[in-house]
Amino acid sequence: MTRSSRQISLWSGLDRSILATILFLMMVGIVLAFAASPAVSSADDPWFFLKRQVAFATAGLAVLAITSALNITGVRRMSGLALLFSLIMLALVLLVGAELNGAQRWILIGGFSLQPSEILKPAFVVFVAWLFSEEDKGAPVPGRIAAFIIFTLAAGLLLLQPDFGQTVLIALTFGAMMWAGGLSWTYTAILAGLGAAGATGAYFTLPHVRARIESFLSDGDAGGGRTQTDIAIDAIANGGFWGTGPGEGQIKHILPMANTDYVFSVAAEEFGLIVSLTIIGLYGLLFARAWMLALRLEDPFSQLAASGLALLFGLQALVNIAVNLDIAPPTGMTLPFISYGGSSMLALCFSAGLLLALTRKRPGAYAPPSSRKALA
Amino acid sequence: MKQLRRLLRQVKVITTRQQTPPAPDEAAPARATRRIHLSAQGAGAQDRQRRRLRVIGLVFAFGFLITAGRAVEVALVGHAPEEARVVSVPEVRRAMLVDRDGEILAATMDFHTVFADPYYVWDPVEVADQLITVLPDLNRERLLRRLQSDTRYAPIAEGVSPRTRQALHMLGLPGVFFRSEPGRVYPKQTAAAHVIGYVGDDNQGLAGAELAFEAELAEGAAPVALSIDLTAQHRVESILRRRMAEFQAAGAAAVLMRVGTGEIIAMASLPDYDPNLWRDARRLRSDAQHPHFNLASSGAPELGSVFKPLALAAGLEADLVSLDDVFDASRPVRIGGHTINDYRGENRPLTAREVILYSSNIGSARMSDVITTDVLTDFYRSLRLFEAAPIELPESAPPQLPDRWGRIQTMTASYGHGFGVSPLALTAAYGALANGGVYVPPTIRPVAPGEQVAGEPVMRPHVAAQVLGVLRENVVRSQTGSADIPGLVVAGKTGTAESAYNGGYSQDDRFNTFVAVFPFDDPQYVLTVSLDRPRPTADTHGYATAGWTAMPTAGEIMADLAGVLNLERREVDPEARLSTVAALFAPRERATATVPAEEPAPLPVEEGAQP
Repeated sequence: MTRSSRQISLWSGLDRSILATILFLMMVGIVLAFAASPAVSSADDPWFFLKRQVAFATAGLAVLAITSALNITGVRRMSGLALLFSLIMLALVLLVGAELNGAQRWILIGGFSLQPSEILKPAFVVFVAWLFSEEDKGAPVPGRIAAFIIFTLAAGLLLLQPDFGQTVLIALTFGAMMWAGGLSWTYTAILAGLGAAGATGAYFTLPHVRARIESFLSDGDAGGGRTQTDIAIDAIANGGFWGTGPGEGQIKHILPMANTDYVFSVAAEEFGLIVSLTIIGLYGLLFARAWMLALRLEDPFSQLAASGLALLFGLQALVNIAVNLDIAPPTGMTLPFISYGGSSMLALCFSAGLLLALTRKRPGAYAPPSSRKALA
Repeated sequence: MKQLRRLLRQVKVITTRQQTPPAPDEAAPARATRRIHLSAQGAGAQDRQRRRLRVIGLVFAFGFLITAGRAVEVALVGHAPEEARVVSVPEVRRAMLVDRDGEILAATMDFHTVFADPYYVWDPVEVADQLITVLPDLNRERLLRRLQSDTRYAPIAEGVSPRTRQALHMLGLPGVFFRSEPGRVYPKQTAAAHVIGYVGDDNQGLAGAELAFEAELAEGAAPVALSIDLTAQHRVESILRRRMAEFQAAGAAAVLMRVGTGEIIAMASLPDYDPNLWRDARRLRSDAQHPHFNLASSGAPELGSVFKPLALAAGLEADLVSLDDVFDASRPVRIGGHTINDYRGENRPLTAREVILYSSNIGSARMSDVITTDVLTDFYRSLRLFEAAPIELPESAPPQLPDRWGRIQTMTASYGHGFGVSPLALTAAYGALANGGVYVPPTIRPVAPGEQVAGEPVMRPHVAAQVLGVLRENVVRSQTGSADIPGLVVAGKTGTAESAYNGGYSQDDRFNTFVAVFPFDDPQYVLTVSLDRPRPTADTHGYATAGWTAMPTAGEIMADLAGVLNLERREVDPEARLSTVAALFAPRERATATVPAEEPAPLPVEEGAQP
């Protein structure tokens, strides 16, 4: 065994498939910014959003590189810090945050709007995985109870914004992690009931949640007029199989948030079904690869954290695309790595960095092939 | 219990591992071994974690598959909103209407309606502002209201040109759509408006040739040609318009018909209208006729003395009258409480020829006694005067006929009172005089050169010639001479009818007509000019009779048309009239039932008639 292979450098052991998929998705995002940017930019600089997208992608790659170089302990520490930071920011947002589209989600820091909930998600997932594994290792901490308290705190802060979509996202991820982490069937039933009750409660107490769900269920024209999703569906249908061609999309001009929540529809209109299936396929690939690696990881913490992060990516992508395709009510969730958005891009690169760090091939990280066979 | 379960699970894992010993060549590094040992107590938990993660993974795989399937469904099964989604251009476009030389009189073009679907309009203010840059006449407030409404159809503008449509298209406004519909365009505007007619909203003919040839036009196979000569039409219209203004007439009409074929070369009625804007046509004066009204064919006014030559022809044809028969016009005729009098009468016995030349009502009435009611009405009937002029135009009015034909009706009918026909019907009747006695129905379709046109012999050729001779003399002797255009050898007759007014006649409300046949020795055209209620002017020395109004108007038209119609000017030969008339008495051989179209057989003329 040579000296160099034992050293953990930036490159060695990094999962190339995940990295390549993420880079590809970021490139898709930049290409789509060409399409979506003129539609949403002011006339002064039609490429405003494109330039910002490229800048964010570059910064994101730096974050990714740094984060992916962390060792497992580093990952835990970094997540803990990020969780603490994002919880504080979430509280601050409620006090000094900027209101946009009827919700206080952003903190303006010198021309840059920070959305703390984006950083919260990966930090929360990794930290929760750590708490679980500590408890399982017999550490004297009530890991699951602590995790549940953190979850309640985070979900509460998110609901106060209100950001129902992110709440559902972390709730689902947290639930899946709890279940995977050995939740008994009794508790599973109880928590599922609580989740359903929470969702129902939100439906009856949060007017905007109710409006969106009713609009989604009312099948378009029935009431409330045309929704953004109706336009998105028109855009996708307009694209058909081959798409209208780059820059030729028409409906993108009337599509609000064409560069963020509905960028998938812009892609489908201009580049057709081939590219929309490619995008779905890329997320599928990212999720499958991360999941496969997570399953093979020996360390329960790494396994749970990696699968939690994969869950975040997968859920966020699936929900966003489902909203675009009108099979889920609008949530305000972005398309990972493709949608425009500084906080989102940096946080996603942070998540990807954590995932790469967790799945990095280290000596002993993965079960040997023979034992893998046995486990399979 | 819990402890027990955990223990059992550990045992199970250990058994599993024992069943599959590690391969000898794969020695685990010391550090890895330690890790395994460290987590050994949680091995059961991790096994469960893997199992459950697999389940979650499967759920997600399913989710990705559903999403991909839905993407396929939306992209391929969904229907895209098309910009031209409402466009419905019928396969068959209504055919063009062209004049005899192929000049376009009516064509079908695409008219563009601009509308918005507020469903697709995201920023009404921006869309409204952009629209106004191209369509500055739009009311911004109203436009904004429409763009913000809940409807799916907000009309913006109608009938915009292709150029405007393109300009709007280039704005690239979402939610702004166009609907193009074929519409009728009349590029010559008012020219021949009454002949051409117009179409309704559904592009179906409502008037004129548009209605007359509806089936043919709707078929769209080939342009439908009319007999109209646009140049002649334009000149007739412009002169008529000027003269109508000069005499402050309430209306005016002119019909120019080709002898032998019955082709209407020009037909004008004033006031006129622009068929492009036919809905906007309004009466200019309350007493004026409506612009849509075709005075040349739609009305049947009393036309007056222009009938005297026809009555004479009836007498000549029945051999009941000869040109030299004398009728006493020294005293008014009193009959049934009415008095038939002459306008500036000679108050002496007049020959039949003089009855025409002096336009004596008394002489004509006396002559009608000789002709008898049956002969006169049969003759008029054979000239198709007792029916609507047999033309394709739907606006051909039936005549105004008396309830019964008694002696007094016969007398007044002989000088064109007590019954009325359209100027078009009169023109066709004079066409028989000009055509050697053969009546040819008027038509607004061109007759191809060499085409045989069916006609109806109404009188013997020499009868027609005799009457023409008198008419030529009438023009030569007329006080003003305004219709005796040098070189055209015009024959003609005036008619001044006092318009029926509350049961009586008004001297001020005359309907003036002049009918001309020219050239007299080789008749090619009949021109009828009518002026409704003309007023005297300084130039007419206070007169407003046909000789002072309709006749000079016709004269001007003929002089102007001579070049257009490619007429050969003739030297004025004072002997021409006499020798020609003399020749007309000779038996002639002339096709009666059919006449060659392009070159109607000239009347046989002695060499002396044409120097």
